[in-house]
Amino acid sequence: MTDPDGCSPEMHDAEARLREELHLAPYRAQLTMLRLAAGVRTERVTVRDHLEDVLDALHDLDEKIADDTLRGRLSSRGRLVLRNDLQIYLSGKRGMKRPYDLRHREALKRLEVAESALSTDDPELWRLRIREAEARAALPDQRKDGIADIRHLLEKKDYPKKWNFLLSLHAMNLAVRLRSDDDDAVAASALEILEREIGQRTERYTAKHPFTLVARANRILHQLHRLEMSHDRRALTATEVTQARALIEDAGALHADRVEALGERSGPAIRSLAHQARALRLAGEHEESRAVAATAYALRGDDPETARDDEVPAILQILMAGALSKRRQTAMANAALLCRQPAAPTVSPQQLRAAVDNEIARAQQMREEILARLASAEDVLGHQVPYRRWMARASKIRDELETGPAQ
Amino acid sequence: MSDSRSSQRAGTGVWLGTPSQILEWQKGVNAPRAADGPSAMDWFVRLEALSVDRSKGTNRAPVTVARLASSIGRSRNILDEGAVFTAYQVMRSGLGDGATPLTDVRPQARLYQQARMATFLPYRQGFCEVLDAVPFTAEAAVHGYMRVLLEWARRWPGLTVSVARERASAEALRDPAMRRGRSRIRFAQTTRLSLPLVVEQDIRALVHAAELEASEVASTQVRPIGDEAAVLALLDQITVAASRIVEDETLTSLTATNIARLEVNDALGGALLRVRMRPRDGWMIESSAVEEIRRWLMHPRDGAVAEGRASLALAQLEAEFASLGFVRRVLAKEDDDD
Repeated sequence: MTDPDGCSPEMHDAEARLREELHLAPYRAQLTMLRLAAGVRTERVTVRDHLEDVLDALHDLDEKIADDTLRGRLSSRGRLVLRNDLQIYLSGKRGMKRPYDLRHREALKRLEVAESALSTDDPELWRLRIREAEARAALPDQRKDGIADIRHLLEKKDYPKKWNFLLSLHAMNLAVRLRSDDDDAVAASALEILEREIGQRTERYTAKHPFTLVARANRILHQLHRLEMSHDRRALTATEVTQARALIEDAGALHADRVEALGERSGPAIRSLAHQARALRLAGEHEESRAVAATAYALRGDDPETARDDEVPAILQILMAGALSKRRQTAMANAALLCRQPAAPTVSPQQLRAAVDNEIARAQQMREEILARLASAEDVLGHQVPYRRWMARASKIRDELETGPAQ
Repeated sequence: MSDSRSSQRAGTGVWLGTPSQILEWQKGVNAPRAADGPSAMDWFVRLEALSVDRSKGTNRAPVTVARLASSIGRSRNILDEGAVFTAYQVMRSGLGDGATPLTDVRPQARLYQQARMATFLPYRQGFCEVLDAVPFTAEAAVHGYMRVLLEWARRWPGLTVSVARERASAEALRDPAMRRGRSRIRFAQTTRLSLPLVVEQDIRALVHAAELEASEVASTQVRPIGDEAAVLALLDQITVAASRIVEDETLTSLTATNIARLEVNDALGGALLRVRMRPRDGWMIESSAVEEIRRWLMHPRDGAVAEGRASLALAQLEAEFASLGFVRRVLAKEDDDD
């Protein structure tokens, strides 16, 4: 089509983007569907392979439409942004195994590439800048600068006066990051963000929208975290116990809403049960806490057998299933990897060693309690077939605890 | 199109077909009308560009046919353009819609309805390709279809605007109760926006496939599929979700789709059952339980905790507690969404 007279540069640019979008549309839809497939248990699906295929197809597309791109008929922006989205998603799927400094290097690289390819006012640059700042804030030695940059980028967009989904998302990430700050004033500012976000998200998306429920969950987690920090130092005050009791209600309501929206076995719904168990513990409701934690633990597995075990106290499940569970071994291997990372968030190697030493000291204190619980478990469950393999493991642990290490 | 366009394939999941007439029409849309002349798709791209004033964010307004023709450099009678008249008939026929007298549809509505279809079909093609490659249940496919549809709405906001005729007929069809109280706002939102014509049929076909799927599963977890009213409520809510995404271009299709989540649950007989738990969720629950034990034992009620020897077994337990406690702390700090 020949450009008509009077077609402004803005119109020309808009059309070049739209024409490129027509080429990208099938791949965009595929990415959307494959992301859903990754979260849906159909059959064993190598989603990652399919996503890699989409990346390859985008590469082929570059060649296919190179002439039109050179002539300015098609934009190249959409491909850069979609490729970034794909790579960010694929990187995220590698999850816990990737050290934070590597994540930061990747975010920085993406930003640099985009800065050289896009115009200075392109909104994609803001998105990549705040992602880079968030990755930087996860590095212990750059946490302060990273957080300052996140705040600056939000202010630059006039947040909280202006509000949109993206600003809300990153403001929430900031609030989560500030949750564990030693400074009470900083933590209070995080709570302020959380309260504001719950209000905004409720107004725009309704109270039971999963995005609103995430904000509610983060407020509960924030309050739990602060109360647990107090509880580690001293006994909770009466006011704090009252707060903990309110959190039991909040977590219960959150769980009910998540079950309705997302289903009983969805990760977020099960996590809210775990939040409730933590609140119950803080309020001194130990038995109830263990029962709720056990339910969460039973619901978490893929194996239908585990769903039947909700009557088993959490402590026994952990002790007995732990050594047999491949998933748990993976978790431990990942934890070991993290321990070797120089740049875990907010925890220096010295702090980490101190924390592990502390845990070991506490674990020694647990010994007698564990022995008593294992003995009572054997009494109650030892004769029941479903728990036989667990009991074999439990007996072994008890023997070793009582008699000392095997020579 | 009938529900037979979609069905379960034994062992491989659901699929969604496309009538050959629609494929023919799509081919014609992309072909130039004459040497150096604009293709129908050129008209549609220009229509989108003119429909949104990008200097004022996402302000949208319907464009008149005369303005579009003038902008694209075609001053002759618009009805002579195949993109507007002949092709429209082919498209409606492909959709199996013989009920509406085509002569009653004004050129502006013909343009917008075709533009929505022509620009949505490439997204729908990607959707169908994934269904061919990856086994999907029908209920998961409904969720996926909505996300794909909203990806389209996010990038073609100008074409989602209802023209006067569409708004008038939407108002005529709606339940009068919708025009009162709180429903009035939602009513206004849904009448301001129109989706590609194929969407209603696709959603109906997929919900029907979900119904067949549920009838083959003997499980107390599967609840009855919603009736026609639930499907209509779902379509209505998808339109609301689309209106949110065109208002806020930063909104993701997942979050926008979730606006209709409860309606989807109603239409499909409950929340999506087969949601996979991410491994990190499992770790989080496990480490949360360990943390619960740790805290419980840190504050023993009787205060009497004996010292003891360290054994290999104890060291193993200690390492597990230490590792999982650390994972929990990392997850609590890292997990952006919860």
